Amino acid sequence: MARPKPLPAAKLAAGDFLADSADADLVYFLCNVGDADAQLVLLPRDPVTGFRQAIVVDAGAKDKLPGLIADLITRGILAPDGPGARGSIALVVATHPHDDHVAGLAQLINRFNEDQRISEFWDPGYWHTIPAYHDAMGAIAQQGHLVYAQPTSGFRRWIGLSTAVTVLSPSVQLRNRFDTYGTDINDASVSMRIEAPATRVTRDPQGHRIVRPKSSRLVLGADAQTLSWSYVLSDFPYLSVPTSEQGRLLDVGSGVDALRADVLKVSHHGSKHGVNLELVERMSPGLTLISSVPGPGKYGFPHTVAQELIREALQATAGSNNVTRSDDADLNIFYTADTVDGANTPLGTIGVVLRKGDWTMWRFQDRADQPVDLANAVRWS
Amino acid sequence: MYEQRVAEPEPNPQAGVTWRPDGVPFPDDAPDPAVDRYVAIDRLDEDAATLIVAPWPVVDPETGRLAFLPDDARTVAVVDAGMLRDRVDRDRGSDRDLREGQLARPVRVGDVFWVRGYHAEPGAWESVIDVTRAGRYAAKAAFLATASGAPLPEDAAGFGIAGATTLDPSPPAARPPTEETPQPPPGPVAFPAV
Repeated sequence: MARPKPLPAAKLAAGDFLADSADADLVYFLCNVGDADAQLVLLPRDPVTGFRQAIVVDAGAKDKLPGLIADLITRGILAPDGPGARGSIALVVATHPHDDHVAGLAQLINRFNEDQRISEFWDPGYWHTIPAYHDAMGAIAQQGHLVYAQPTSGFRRWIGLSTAVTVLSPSVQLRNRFDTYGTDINDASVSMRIEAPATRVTRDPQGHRIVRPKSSRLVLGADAQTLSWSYVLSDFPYLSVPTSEQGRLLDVGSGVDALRADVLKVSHHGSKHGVNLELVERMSPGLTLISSVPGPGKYGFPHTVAQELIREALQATAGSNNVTRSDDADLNIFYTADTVDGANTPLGTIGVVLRKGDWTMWRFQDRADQPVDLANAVRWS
Repeated sequence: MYEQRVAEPEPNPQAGVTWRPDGVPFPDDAPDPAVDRYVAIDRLDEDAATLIVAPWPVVDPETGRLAFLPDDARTVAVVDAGMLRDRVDRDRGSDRDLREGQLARPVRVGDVFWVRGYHAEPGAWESVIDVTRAGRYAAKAAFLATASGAPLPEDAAGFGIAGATTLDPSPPAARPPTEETPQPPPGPVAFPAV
């Protein structure tokens, strides 16, 4: 692996993370948990309740996400305990049952088990023999109201007033092979795109009006690998829309490219089998994020070959003698393992505020074993 | 409010009984949660096998689930996959002389082993038995119980499952042959893992 190049301190400045996010913004946290995944998405604030709802995607370590969620409750971002907390965590997704994605799941579900705060749980349906999987299943079963579903590609779910979630993988063709060892556990991953605000309808005395706001799109790649992504590329083809009224309506209805992303969380910690060139070109992310340890770790993530193909997708140099490869930071590729130039300070957890497709990135300077302190935020510019 | 399942009773793993799945050739004094380990293969990355090592589980009498206590006694170990296979095979017996209930096959993600005398090096394990069949059965049952609940036998009629065939987790060789085994249709066929 190639250790991330330290970021220039001059491009980081202290600021007020919470004040930076407007009510309609989508907010994403990629927590620093080493070679594991723990993610939180805050949906736009509900103007009626005054609170945001949250989506949790993996809890690969204990304490980190529960601490962050508790802090957001204390700060009034998420609803406090009581009847209003119901559905405050709209969805918890265990992308696949590897220990580094579910080790903290039972703790999280048990900690927020009052007031029906968690509404829904998804996993791919790949059952696993590790203790953390048994723990998670037991924690869910304690809550009769908690909806448990196993979505496959193409499933869409609308949450709150303006957020649409599209499941990109696993393909049902992979799901049908789970019981026979016919699918690698990473390829079982639930990957998805979260979009807010999604296409909506307004009404007036003359009827409905379809409105397509400028939205923000976040693709969370889980640990899906090249086989799974090959199905995704097949299941979600680029729709070449003619410049006609019908084509425009098609674009308004579902978008011409369901894989296009403003922010991409790279799959499998930057493993060489996690992404491919065509996929990243299709997604064309403005911001590319990788969850990994700062050193070689157990598996050497991120793999250099994966880093190179992401760079090539974002800045094509093959076939050209005149293009010099930019630094990762200039290509907007960042790692939870980032450090600051001239210091050993970890930059740790990444927070992203998404507004109409534009983003601002914040870092919380936490090590993998430290809590996320929102007051310790520095902004990348 | 719609509920997907009846919420399970509060777990009580401290009152649990040692998990001893049928058909597994444990020695008479095993398994013992105090000294034995549950070793599951979490992932295989080329030559590296990532193992989750936990105290041997008990069956929670309230929920029917496996409980691995204490949970802070779990460890993650990365070992050479070839060495792991060699060690498992040593106690499994040769291809022609497999111990009862054991299968000769490569190690795979999701495989589970009972290990006595656990050590960071698989070659130094005192004793090992492949309990994958029982482990996968328990894992699949865990998710089915979560999806739709796990009623007590006396409540089975109310759920329309009284008299239903119980799938047996023990090895096929221990079961009498049945004429009801369906023949596969023409075309691609997938077979169960264990």
